[in-house]
Amino acid sequence: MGGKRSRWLDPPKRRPNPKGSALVLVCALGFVGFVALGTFRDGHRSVDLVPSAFVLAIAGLFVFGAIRDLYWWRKLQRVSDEEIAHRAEAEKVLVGALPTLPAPAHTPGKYGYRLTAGHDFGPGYVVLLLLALLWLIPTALAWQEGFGPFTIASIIAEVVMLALVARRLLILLRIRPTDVEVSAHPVAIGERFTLTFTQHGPLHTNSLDVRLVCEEEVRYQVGTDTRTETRIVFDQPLISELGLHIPVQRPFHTSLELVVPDDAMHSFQVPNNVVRWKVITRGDVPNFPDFERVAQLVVLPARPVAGGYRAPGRA
Amino acid sequence: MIEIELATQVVSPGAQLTGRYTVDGRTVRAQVSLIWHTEGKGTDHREVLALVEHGDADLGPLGERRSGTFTFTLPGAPTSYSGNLLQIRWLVRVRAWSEGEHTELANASFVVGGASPPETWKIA
Repeated sequence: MGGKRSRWLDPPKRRPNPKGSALVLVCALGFVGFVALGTFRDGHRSVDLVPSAFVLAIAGLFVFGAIRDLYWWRKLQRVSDEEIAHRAEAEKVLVGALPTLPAPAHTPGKYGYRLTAGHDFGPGYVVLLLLALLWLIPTALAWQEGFGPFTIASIIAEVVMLALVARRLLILLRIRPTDVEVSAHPVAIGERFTLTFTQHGPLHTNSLDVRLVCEEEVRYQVGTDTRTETRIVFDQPLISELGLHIPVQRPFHTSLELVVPDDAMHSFQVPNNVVRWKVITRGDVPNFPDFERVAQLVVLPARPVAGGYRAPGRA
Repeated sequence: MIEIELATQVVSPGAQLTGRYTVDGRTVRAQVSLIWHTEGKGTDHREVLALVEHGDADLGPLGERRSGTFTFTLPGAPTSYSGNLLQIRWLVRVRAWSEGEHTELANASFVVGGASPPETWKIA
């Protein structure tokens, strides 16, 4: 909903504190060194590796956060406070006043706004990986007890989970990034915009399809279950390429002029009912799992002739 | 019986909606609300965007019928929609209380924006 905002690109925008980030980075790295020294004292492992690995993973998250903040501090150095405030205010008028619209998620791109793509290795797969690692414990214990039905079931479950994770990891590592950029975001119904598509190589595909899709999603209760149903109500092919060879030095790149239909529905999001616009990229790679990447496009209602919308009571 | 008359049946997002209602002569209080809600397969969502209270003094002279007027400024979204799994409807609701706390209720629906069913959308 409108209240959900990505950290930097939607209001409230704020500059990262470089001193704070640097301090966190130094402390986290120092902590990593301390734990590593404690774990391998005198060249020998002195404590259990599992808790050490857990502590190191948490410290790693702090290191990642500090590096990200320093990156954004560097990136925003040349953008004035007024410009940040102006962008934030413009988005507030357009989006903040319309709470049923999802907040746009994008990063600055070469051709406008790079739409945030769904991750190949999303949170669901991180949970699956953790579950697979945790499941190793009962599997190992069952193995020590003997080779019974529980052991077989445990091993099958472990293999299935690891295979699913490995398949995703393969896609993540093998398929180079897909960039979908739009000249304006959010886009309003009836407004012309340019969509720029870039698929980085090296990649060889049997087919590569890019579509603009509008889908409805509803959630409802049946007894104590909550069910979700999704239906694609609009599907416009944008790019369709067969037998594509993309070398590393020349990404596949194409631009299209688009207009969301004048009589279409804008993006809409309330807890159990959603209308969502997406740009879906689907690739069929020979001897490799197919991949699908989804970028969300926020579509506003048609703009009134006079300019932006105003909430009731707003001057 | 409550009768609601809207100035127009199709309103642009962000525009004003005006109207008038008549209620029974014994009505002492009325509430006019601007509502949008979802229908369809998903769990319904309802939002009351504005609510105006009309007391005895606001309802026009006592007689066989009493009347009131209302003006609402609509937000920019959502627009009305007739999709496959969900629909979005807009309405003005008038609730009237007569002596003895007897209540009556009536709705008048209207359309916001020009969204058509998805089957008719064509991209340029």
